Amino acid sequence: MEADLVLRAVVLPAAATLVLLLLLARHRPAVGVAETVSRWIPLSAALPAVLSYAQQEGAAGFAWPPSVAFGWSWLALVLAALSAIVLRPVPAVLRAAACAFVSMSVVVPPGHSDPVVRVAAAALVAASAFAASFPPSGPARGGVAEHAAWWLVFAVASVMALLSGFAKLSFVIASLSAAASFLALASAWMPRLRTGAASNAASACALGVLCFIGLGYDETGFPWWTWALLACAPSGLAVGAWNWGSPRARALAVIAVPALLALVALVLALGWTGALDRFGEPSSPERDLYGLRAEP
Amino acid sequence: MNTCCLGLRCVAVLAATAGVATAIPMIGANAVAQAPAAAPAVAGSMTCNVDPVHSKALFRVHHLGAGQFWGRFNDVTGTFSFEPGKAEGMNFDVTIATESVDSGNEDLDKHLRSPDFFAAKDFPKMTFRSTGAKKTGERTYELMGDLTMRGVTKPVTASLEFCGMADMGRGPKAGFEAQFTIKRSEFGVNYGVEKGAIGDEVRVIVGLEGGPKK
Repeated sequence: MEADLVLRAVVLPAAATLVLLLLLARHRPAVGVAETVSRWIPLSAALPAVLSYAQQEGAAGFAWPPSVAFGWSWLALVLAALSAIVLRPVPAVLRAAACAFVSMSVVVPPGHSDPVVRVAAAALVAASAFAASFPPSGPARGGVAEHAAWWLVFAVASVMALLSGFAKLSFVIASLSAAASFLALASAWMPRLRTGAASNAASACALGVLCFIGLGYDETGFPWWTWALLACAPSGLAVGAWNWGSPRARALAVIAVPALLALVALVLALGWTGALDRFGEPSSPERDLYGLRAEP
Repeated sequence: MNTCCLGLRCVAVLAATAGVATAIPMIGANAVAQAPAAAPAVAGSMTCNVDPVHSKALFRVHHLGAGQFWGRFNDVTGTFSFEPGKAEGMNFDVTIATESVDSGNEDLDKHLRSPDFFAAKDFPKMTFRSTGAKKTGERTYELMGDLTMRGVTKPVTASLEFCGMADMGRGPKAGFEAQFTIKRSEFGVNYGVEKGAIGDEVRVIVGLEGGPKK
């Protein structure tokens, strides 16, 4: 069952996103327009997740209005991506703030309806989105490396969602991770598929939205600040702006720093709840530490 | 001397207490042995509060095309009204706390509480409210009602058995057992349905015991 679900809810949505972005990237800008990265790349922060959500929930998942906070996730991600595309010309800080507040405004996870909490969460995501889109342009922008960073960050987030007890959310995040990995490979041959400031902002907002939902439905009891730290992991992309001496060192830093931040969040969450202790226990065929067989 | 007397008194008190404590279960045992086989005659209808300690809801679902998986809800509350032997006036209003789902496996319980299944944080309760009843046998009934789960309300028909009624010194108690089958996908619980990894049809068995509403 898991293999089938991974194919339908993770691999296929990511592959469909890649195909669509390849088609859209074929469109060249008018002569004289200094546009080197496809404007549609921010769609990679929403499309795989929407397709994955649709695969898992079917038409009933789009009933209006959604009865669970998870049901709003697809809309929040679409709003984040569209905001990033439409607001591409505006300054990065405004774009990041708009993306974050628009997308976070539609999601109200259970137990987190307090406006102060929601505004604080949106502000945190906005800061992370701005850091992830810094610098807005120039040679410091990493191409393949940034996609690879997103691949790892989303992968860690997917594991955290799974360990929190929410498999469907985990598959949605995993589809974003898979799409980032496909784009990392494709962008090596097609530079127009590289990340841009706008796509990084959209992806950071998508991660923020999904972490907020993960926090709301967390059945394991991961501390809220571990979810916040995970949502802030994209801010590590800002290290790409520093002078690392060589492109290789910069690329390594761009991949490693966000991934490490995400990994630290996961390890702290597991350590805090005592789940790490269980990894030392002798395994048995009946054990299912990752909840992969956890269906009735 | 005084200390000795006090010690003897303490021993005597302890012995008496122990004797009473031993006697209580024996009284219970006698009561069980002398329990009436049939329900005592009760005039008129009776409205009961569900006793959450002695009431449970179990569910059964086909797993991986092989075995039948059983789980239960431990927190069952509500009220029921009935008049022995009559379907008229029979009324059930039962609430189940979705947070109380218990599969015997902690990881599995977390998953069952998540939006993949019961979405316990969004929908902390599921309810059954009867709309009518029909007598089908000496102690059996067909109970019609509305089941609300995950915000979706669907009519269900349960086969209901009157299990008995007795007073064993703790006030009159009455018990029922209801069984019905639902399609969980109709209530938005579709995880694993598509490939049949987890069956769509779920058999629900609810055992209720209650005493007169005060």
